[in-house]
Amino acid sequence: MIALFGKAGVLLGVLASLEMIRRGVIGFRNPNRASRAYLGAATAALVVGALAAMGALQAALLGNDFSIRYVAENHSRSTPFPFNVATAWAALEGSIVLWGLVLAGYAWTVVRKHRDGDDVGSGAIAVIGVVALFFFGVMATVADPFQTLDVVPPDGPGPNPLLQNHIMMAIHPPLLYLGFVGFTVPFAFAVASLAKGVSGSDWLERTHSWSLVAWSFLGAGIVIGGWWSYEVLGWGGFWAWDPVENASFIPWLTATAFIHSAVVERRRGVLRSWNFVLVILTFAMTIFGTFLTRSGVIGSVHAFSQSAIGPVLLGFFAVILVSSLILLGFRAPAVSSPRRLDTMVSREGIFLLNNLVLSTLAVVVLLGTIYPMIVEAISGEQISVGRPFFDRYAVPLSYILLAAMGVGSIAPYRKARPVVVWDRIRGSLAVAALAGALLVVVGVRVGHVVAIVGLAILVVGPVAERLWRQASAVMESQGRTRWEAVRRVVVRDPRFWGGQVAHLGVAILAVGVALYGNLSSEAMVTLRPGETGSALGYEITYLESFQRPEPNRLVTGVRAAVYRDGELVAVMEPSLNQYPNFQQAIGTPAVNTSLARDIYLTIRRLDSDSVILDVQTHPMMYLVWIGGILMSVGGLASFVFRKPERDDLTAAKDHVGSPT
Amino acid sequence: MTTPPDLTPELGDPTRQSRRIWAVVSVVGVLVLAFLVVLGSRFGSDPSLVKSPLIGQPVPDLTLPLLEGEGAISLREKRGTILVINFWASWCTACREEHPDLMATAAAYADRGVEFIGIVYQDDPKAAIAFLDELGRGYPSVLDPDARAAIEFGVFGVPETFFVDADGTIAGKITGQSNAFILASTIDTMLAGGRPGSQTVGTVQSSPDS
Amino acid sequence: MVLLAVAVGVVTVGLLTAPPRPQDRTKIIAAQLRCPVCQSESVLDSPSETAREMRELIASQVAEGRTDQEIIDYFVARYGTWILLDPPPSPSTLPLLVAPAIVVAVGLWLIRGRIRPRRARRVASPR
Repeated sequence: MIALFGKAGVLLGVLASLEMIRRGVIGFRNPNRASRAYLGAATAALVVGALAAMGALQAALLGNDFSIRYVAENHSRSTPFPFNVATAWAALEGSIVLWGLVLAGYAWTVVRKHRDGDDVGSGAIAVIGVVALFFFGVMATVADPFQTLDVVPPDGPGPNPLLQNHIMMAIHPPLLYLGFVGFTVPFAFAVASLAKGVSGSDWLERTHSWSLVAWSFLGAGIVIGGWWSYEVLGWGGFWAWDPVENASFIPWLTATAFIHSAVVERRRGVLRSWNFVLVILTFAMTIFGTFLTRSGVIGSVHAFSQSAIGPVLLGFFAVILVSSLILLGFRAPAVSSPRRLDTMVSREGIFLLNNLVLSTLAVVVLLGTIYPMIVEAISGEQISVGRPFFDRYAVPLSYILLAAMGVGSIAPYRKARPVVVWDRIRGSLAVAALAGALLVVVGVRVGHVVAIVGLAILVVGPVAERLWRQASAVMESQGRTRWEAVRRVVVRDPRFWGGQVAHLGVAILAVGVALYGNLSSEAMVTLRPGETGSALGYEITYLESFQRPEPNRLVTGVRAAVYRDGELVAVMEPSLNQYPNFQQAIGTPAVNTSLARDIYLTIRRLDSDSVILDVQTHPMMYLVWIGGILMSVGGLASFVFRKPERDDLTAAKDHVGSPT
Repeated sequence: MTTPPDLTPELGDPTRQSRRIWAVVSVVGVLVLAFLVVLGSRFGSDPSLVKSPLIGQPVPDLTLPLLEGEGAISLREKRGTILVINFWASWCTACREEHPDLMATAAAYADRGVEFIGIVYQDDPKAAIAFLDELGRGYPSVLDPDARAAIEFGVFGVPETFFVDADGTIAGKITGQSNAFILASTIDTMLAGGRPGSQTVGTVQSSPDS
Repeated sequence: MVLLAVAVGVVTVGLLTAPPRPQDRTKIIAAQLRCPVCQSESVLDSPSETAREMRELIASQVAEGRTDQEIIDYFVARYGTWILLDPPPSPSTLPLLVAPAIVVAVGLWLIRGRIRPRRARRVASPR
């Protein structure tokens, strides 16, 4: 019954996407027939279909309907809330349903802004319809979430224990999908605009919000994923250059490049073809990332098992990429701008450098991820590409990016005379140098840390100085309080200041990563009950072991008191969680966070008479999460900063870029 | 500042630019297609299978304690016999499947100078003994303290089966679940003086849940 | 300005005279090896049993006075180059190692095409 309802939803989705394509193409060809009503109806049907599919899946999960194969394989009666809800996207078929739902939601936001007579907009909706047709078609065929079983099992194994061990795994996929799928919108407008042969940056302006929203969610999804890795996987790290992590990182890199080069195009009218290339690549990489995760061609902690969807996704990726590039090849001469930059020594020049660095990093990550597969397919030789390779590029490129961020935000457009730049950064340089000296004096004598802290100050300082100065000017001329004045300066240019919030996040993140990478420590202690051992300057007492049955798992752990200089810091409970139907216990670390550091305890081995504890300290680990989240929030901040009394469109048109 | 210089169109050659764009497009297109062919060929293969570089190398000098009873087995001292070394664990489903074939083959070749040894891989000895109680014995199994044997043999998971010739050289390896036919044909090759090399039959399990 | 110079001086001197941090060779080696029973973690990062045994084996080989290269070779001999997270230069890894340089070169070439040549700039903006 529920399965039938779900299938009907999927079918409605297929039909609605076909109608979106048909209506979209009609409107695209003839602006007079680009009717909002028809496109709206088709898109509404898509939303209804997607909601029905997701609703049916949820109903089946919450109602323990084990006659549906997906439920029987991924759910169990004992799975607690909210993991039973999140099970809807914990495995392949369900994750495609979520994808479809998010896409339908984005399509709806596009249609709401659609106006009669908008041919490019109609074309974009047709393109979205093509993407929707693909995903709903997949749901109807190779990844049917509503397949039923003849023999209904009484209960199922429940979702993968790693995924039900922490709440963050329930929200990480939706965030990631909101990011991945969001890029469909700028991609669709780009393709429609190319097909129409429209020159100009209209499509960029129109899709600006979606690009930023998608970028923010993608970044937030990646950060939350890293956080989950840190809190759950128990190895004390948050980023492993795992193929699946890379699969989400590559589109984030190209999207970041896109957001910056879009600014250059809007301000200076150059890089038109390049922006098309970036938006096409970003979208293609989201499909490719999904392929990497879902097809079983790579082994990874997060990868789903092998399925028929692999070739289908790969084919879609190829069709999307090759056809849009051919389209670009035909249209580029017509749409690309003949203008040139005056000199690299200008803000746009630094944006170009930023694009080069981000693209290089994207290529390095992509190549490193797929290279082992390529080599093995060609020569049969088996090689690995991991952290040492990626770090070798990522670290120096990050330095360049940070430096570019600091100088780029305050360098004038057109031509940045060194004197002007020097004048704007010299205060911050002094602060950075002082901070470095302070670090060295207090004993942090690690080159990377000192350098990154200095660069972070260089990223934040000059911009903060500008904000202060402009606010002062407003205070003088208008007689307002400092806070009021700052607010006025910010709303005058929400995009710029939103970007600066993101930059602040990146600076904090960079400091966090540098501290983590250079000042973390690790030690092992073996303890008997009641015994005290010391590690990393802490005394650790093994108080007792405990067992605690929970509805869906058996938690076995040790209670350990951590002392510093005889004073109790915390009582921590690292544990091993045993899920029924899964043999191996999942270790869960205990993390104690304070202003100075995280203490991170994991059980490496637990016997009846002793325990081996892995003790790690990570200084100011929260900087990584705060920085990461702030970075993502920055993308959305430009909406928050917007002048409330002004209409969206006029505000955007009046205040492009920043005052120089 | 005078008139914004960037607003004057560049005296660029449009055909040259178009050619450049087409060059980029076609290069990317060709790369993508080549890449598809390569990836397409990967469907169905298991990313966790890795070849062994140990074929042709001398057998590691290890002495391993017996799983049941007192004593130990030294691999080097087995020189002169053909040695079949099977890594297994009670939590491994493929091991369960192949065990009867291993026992039958061991019995069939016992009088032709072929010895079988099982090495228990990351398992509780009690569980391992229970496994043998259930499925039968036929040849000795040894324990692997500190996983030294697993590391020396470059084991990725279980089951993996190594073949050592009478000179004490590793001559063959079966990755994944073996069967009577493959075992017999590998041993026959070695009895005839050949070196069978490595074969991949199926996947291996690296932990109880993989 | 004087302040800046002094601060930079303190940083330089401080970093140059910093005592070499104790380097744990076991960790450095373990970070370069891929855990054979995991998905893509290093021997250093993996909490798995095999990885732990491998770390202990590395530690004991370090204690025996073997060089980093000898220890790494020991593992390569058993697991193949697969175990190296940083693929060594060889004909088959050459494209991987030169690709980033090619990307940068192509990128710079493309950027050059976007910059007005100096001569044209003078012509285009008469003072």
